[in-house]
Amino acid sequence: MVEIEGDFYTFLQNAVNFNVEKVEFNVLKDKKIIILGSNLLVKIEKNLRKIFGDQIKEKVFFVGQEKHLDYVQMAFGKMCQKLIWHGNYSLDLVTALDGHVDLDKMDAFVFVSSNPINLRDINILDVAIELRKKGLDIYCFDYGLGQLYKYNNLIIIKNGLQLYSEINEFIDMVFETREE
Amino acid sequence: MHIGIIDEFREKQMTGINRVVCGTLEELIKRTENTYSFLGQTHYLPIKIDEISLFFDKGKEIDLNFLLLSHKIDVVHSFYRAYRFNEKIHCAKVLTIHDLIMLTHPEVATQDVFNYFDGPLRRCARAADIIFADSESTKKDIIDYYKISEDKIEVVYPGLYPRTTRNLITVSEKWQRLEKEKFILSVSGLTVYKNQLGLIKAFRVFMEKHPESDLKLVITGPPRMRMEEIYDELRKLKYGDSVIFTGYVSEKELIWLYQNCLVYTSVSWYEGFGLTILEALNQGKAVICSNTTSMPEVGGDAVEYCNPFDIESIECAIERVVLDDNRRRYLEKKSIAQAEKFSYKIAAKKIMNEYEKLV
Repeated sequence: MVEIEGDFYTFLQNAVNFNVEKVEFNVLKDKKIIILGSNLLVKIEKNLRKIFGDQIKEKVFFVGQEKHLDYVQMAFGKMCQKLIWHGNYSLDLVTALDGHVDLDKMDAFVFVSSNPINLRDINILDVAIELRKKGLDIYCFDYGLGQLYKYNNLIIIKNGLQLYSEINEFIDMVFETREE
Repeated sequence: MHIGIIDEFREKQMTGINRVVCGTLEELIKRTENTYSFLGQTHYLPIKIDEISLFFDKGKEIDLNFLLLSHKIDVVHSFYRAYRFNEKIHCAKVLTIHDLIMLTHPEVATQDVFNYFDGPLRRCARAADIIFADSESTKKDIIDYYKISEDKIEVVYPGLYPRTTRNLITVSEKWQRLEKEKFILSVSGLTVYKNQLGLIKAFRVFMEKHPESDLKLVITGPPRMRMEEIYDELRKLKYGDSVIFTGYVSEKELIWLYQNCLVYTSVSWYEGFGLTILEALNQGKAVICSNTTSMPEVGGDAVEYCNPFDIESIECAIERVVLDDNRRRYLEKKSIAQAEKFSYKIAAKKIMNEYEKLV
């Protein structure tokens, strides 16, 4: 259960961490998934093969930059379903995905990261929130430990991270103001 | 004193940086006058101390403003991750730097990694009250590349963690074939700067000069890059099966390999410290290593040196140690005494002294 006592810092950490739940990779077994690629795709390859076997082409839809999808093609063959994306991930990605894949038939969205919770992934969370509205479950693959995490309350996670960053910046501002 | 430790190098199998953190902390926490907390989620590490959660921002400095106003911490000590906090917050900043290979050899780094060492880590190092470097060689790189005064940098040599046994061990049947062989060992992931390619080329020259030799070359570690060049080189070997790639090996298998090899080699271009050299010396083995960067600090006068950029130099070192039994025994005799110069007990004492000066 999430700890609600203590200082605000601890509460905020707990609230976000509580909504990021470690799960077994097997939970993806019967799902059709979208995977957000990066140069880290290599780290998830083994797990994908283990879970989906020969069904990768039917069950997995890859999104990423051209160079990352070249890797996908090399690893899983030319027939992989994929969408090449240029630049940062934004809400436009959801519109693009809608044009390439029937989102109603997809079950989950997975992205690969260096930490189960990473401030760098805030833009991906915007995409995740939209996909959640369309019924997809959201997962983060922590490549260092090879663990999968399910993101539950995305609004708390995203706003929690945003608030954490804003407070860090605000503290600098307060110190500067005091100096003046 | 309350000391916050930043590690957060997430991995299933513990390698270099996490070993340094655990080895150092294991000794530090024996002294009860200070308390230690990990800043971050570190449940995967075998050292169990309090944990204060924080959110990371990959590729940037970790911002500790909010954390430090919420928790009383006297010293933040990061083992490589860049961090920052407002200078008005009363807390000392300590950073350990293991190596700067991503700056000294940018050709081995991805752009993101290069940018991290050149940006956030540089800023963190400049803001630090003290920097611990793994070797004099790394200290010199910090001075040269970050333009930081040498007064701010202390050399703290790592030791061995976990402390490895010198008792002979047994391993599964899979290794029995090797038990009967005479082999040179090389331990590390296959990367450009670890120079396994140079080692294989030198080994090929050795085998061509001594076709009667039954020597083998055993290379451990996961294949990461440059495998095509390595396979090309192997095709040129008359007896291709004399080079054996084991892939990743367990801790126990690794010790067995050290104990059973004829000679250990590390012909890397660059090492921040050269931990595998220390591991081999600790097992009483004759070692051939590069005469570059930190390796002479680790090897002292107990190893055979070579120039890792010169195949002939590597091959000559192999000849000297493999073919000359007296030379090999001389090195073996000196090895354990050299290894015992390095320990986390010594490292922790030095770190503790520096902490005390800061607060």
